[in-house]
Amino acid sequence: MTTAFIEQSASGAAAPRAAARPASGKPIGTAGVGVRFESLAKRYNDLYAVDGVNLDVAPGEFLSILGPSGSGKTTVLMLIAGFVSPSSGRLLLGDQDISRIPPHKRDIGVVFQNYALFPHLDVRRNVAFPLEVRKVAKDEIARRVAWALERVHMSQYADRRVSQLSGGQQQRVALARAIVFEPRALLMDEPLAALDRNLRVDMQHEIRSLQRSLGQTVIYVTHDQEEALNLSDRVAVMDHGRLQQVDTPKNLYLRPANPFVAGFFGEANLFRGNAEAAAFVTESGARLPLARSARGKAVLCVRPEMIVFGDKQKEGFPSLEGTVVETRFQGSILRISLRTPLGPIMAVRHINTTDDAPPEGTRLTFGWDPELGHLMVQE
Amino acid sequence: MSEYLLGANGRRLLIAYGWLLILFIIVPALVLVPVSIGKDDSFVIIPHELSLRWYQTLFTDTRWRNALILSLKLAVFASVLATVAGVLAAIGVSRAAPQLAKALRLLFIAPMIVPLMVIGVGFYVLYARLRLLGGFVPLGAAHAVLVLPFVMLPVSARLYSMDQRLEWAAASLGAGPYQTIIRVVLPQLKPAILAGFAFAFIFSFDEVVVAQFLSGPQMETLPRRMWEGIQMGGLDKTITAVTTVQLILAVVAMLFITTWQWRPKARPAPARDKADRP
Ligand SMILES: Nc1ncnc2c1ncn2[C@@H]1O[C@H](COP(=O)(O)OP(=O)(O)OP(=O)(O)O)[C@@H](O)[C@H]1O
Ligand SMILES: [Mg+2]
Repeated sequence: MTTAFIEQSASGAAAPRAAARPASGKPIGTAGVGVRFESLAKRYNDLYAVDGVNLDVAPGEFLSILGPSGSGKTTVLMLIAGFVSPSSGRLLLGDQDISRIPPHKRDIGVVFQNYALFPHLDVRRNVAFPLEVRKVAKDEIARRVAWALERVHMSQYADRRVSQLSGGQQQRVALARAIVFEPRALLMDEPLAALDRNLRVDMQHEIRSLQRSLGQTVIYVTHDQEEALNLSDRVAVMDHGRLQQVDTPKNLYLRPANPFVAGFFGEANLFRGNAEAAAFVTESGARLPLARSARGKAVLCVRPEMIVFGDKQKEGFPSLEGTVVETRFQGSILRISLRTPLGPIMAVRHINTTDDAPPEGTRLTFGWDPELGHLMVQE
Repeated sequence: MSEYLLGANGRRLLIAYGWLLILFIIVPALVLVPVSIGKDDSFVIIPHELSLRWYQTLFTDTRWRNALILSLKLAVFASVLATVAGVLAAIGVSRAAPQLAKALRLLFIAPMIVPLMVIGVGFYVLYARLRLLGGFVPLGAAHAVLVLPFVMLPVSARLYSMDQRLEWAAASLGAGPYQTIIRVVLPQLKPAILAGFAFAFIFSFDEVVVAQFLSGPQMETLPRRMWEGIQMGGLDKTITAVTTVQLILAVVAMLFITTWQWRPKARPAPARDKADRP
């Protein structure tokens, strides 16, 4: 998961917003609105499950919330949906404060991890549910249900019982049910976690294209980094109830805000020490050149693929030495673990048929372009 | 699985024990069925001559017939009342704070644990002061209290095992609290409610202790009439017809319950992926 980011980031924050047009009548599928968190916090006894979160989700944006187990992702979603109420702070949907509005009046679609389809209703009635409770006219319900089922390729299953569907099909029905009433935003809590890998990738594509064509605002919780990067305009990284960084996939990789984020996305060689103007002095005393001068306690992050060896070194690169401990082929890349005076270093190289992997014990000189080293200054 | 450990003899013993237990449970219930279709007055298990005359007595003799009708009316009244109250109580209790819920659940289940005699005397004293003895509605209300646990227990259990996210899903889809109960919760509870109703009905239909205390001189329920029939010494054989009718009712109720509980389970879905189906 090293090269995908660069292309991914090109897809930018502004999703195209086109209303999908059903067979007849007025178009279904209005664009989503923005969601804003203002110092939102949720406390359970002594534990802050969500701690002072400030975040702006743009209308039509696909934002993922990513973080380790127990970091507060689900709690954030439940706060937006209204199933738990905030201990402090405000939550805005568009320009309306919804902090104290009950869930059924929020007009937010939710897709749950276990789908939460109503077992006593067939597929059609499940999807019709939000329209029935809104007392929408019968023929309009039929039209919209047909539209939603078609959007998720489930038209032929309309009369099935929920228990007769596979997990992937249930997920599609849950999705149809969550979009059929044109919610102002769509929340998903690990919706694909129960599916096998191939199906998950298919569903990711479908969710993404559906979101784009509807212009829907989506907040998507996952603990799968690849999924977050594949789907999102921006990713919010959480740990211990706090937002660590909210950024595009590219920036999360290249410009992580702190060691936690750096370590969370792919591998990173992290050096602790002090920035002293043009050089970074590690705790072990090595001086590493910096592209831009800085001062103070900091962590320098160098991604494995930025490490270059021997004659590929250029003027101004740090010149370091290390011993190969292990090499491993992983498809198209070669991973090289080095033992160095700075500690263990991980490097990857794209496999080039003309040169072989360096055998264990080889001494190599290595370095990196200081422009690519990322300095994380710690306050 | 564990039968492997028993060996052939052990397995035979286990099967024999199983049959013994089953027979011990059902023979006493069934033994009166052949008796009831014997023509003469004697209580022989294998009748010499078959006849439905005791059933005829049950449905034509005014005293027996009135008792039967009264008991049916009473059972319907009490079980409907208990079902409505019990379902509402179960839903309410499921939403109460854990400590309170525990206390309330115990309270609602108490009529099943407290001896009938205690309840009977208690109601008797209370109704005597209020001049309610011998009234149909007061007796029905007392019966409703007795059968409340039969509704509370299955409905509470079903509520407890219900996925809370279904209610959340309903709310996110725009259903308010009442709509959620009507459109999502109650349909999920249907099998439990029907089971509770059936148990409540059967219990009330059979109940004799509390009825004895509260029915006053005029109201004669079926079980009370039976007691009378037994105590009179003459042993009215119509009793065997009544027990058979009661047995049939119970069996019908049980079939009703089981078919309702099995109905929602559909054929398994094609296993295309590993979904976390319960
Ligand atoms: N109802 C609750 N009562 C007490 N603590 C809770 C409650 N709900 C969540 N928590 C705590 O809040 C923290 C955040 O939980 P949350 O479910 O939001 O995590 P998560 O990021 O969704 O984790 P996962 O990836 O495992 O789903 C956890 O430490 C959890 O134990
Ligand atoms: Mg979670």
